[in-house]
Amino acid sequence: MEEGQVLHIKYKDHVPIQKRFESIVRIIVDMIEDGMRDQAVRQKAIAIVNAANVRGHDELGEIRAITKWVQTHMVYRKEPVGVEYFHTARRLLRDIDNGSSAGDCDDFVILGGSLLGSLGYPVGALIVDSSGDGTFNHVMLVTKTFTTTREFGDNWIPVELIYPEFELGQSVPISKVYPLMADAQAIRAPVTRKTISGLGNVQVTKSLKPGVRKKSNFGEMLSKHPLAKLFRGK
Amino acid sequence: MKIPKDDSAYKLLQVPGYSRMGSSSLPGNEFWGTLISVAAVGVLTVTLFTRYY
Repeated sequence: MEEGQVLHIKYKDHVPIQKRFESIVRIIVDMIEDGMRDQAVRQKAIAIVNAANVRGHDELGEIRAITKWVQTHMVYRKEPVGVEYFHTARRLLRDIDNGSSAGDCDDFVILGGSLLGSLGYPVGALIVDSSGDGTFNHVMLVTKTFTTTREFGDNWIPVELIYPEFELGQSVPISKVYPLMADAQAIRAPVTRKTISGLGNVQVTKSLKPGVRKKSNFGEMLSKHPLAKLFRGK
Repeated sequence: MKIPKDDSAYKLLQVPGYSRMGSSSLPGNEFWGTLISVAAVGVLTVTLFTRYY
């Protein structure tokens, strides 16, 4: 993936905020999937946990180290009304290194999810209703450990990245959540290679069900299978 | 300004519907892929058997 990639989406005025967040969370998850496969991101994640003196197999220690690093190194900046910018994890890391970090909650989730995902943790975007009016208006990260821990058991852990004083599992008061998990095995072109020029071209799933999205290239795989050639008489 | 914080998101994520979130399950595209592949192999076997024996 090239450095310095930024997606820019402008929503029309009539697009409801709920629809915006549904499309936003899908793009975030795609960008997390791209980031967690980026070798530069993994190198950074390893450097962060090593610098925090986290021992091997200390899963909560790794999650805490990455969370704290993102909370304290990324700078929260609001975006223009009606416009969404999405930065690749590599771009966000570069901006931090250059002292020009700026991102809103979805950028925090892209970076935190990419770093934790590159270390093998299951991650996803958690869109939440923090205003209590039934509308999704904020994005958090969600992850979990593989081994059961005394603190969280084997439960999913919401991670608030935009406030440095928030610990794992803490959030602002939330009345509704919708998680969408990243799939490390998803096969597709990187998001930054796609053309996205507005909500009309952004894929939005109407029925929201939690879980890993199924992305299948089964038809293409089947057509290339030797048996298929045999059936076609080749 | 003090930002209010609690564990409401954590509690909302503990409902049973989210417990298997993130783990892959067979009854999806993989299920149909496996079923169609097995059926294809079966049909091919019968076809070759009847053609050559």
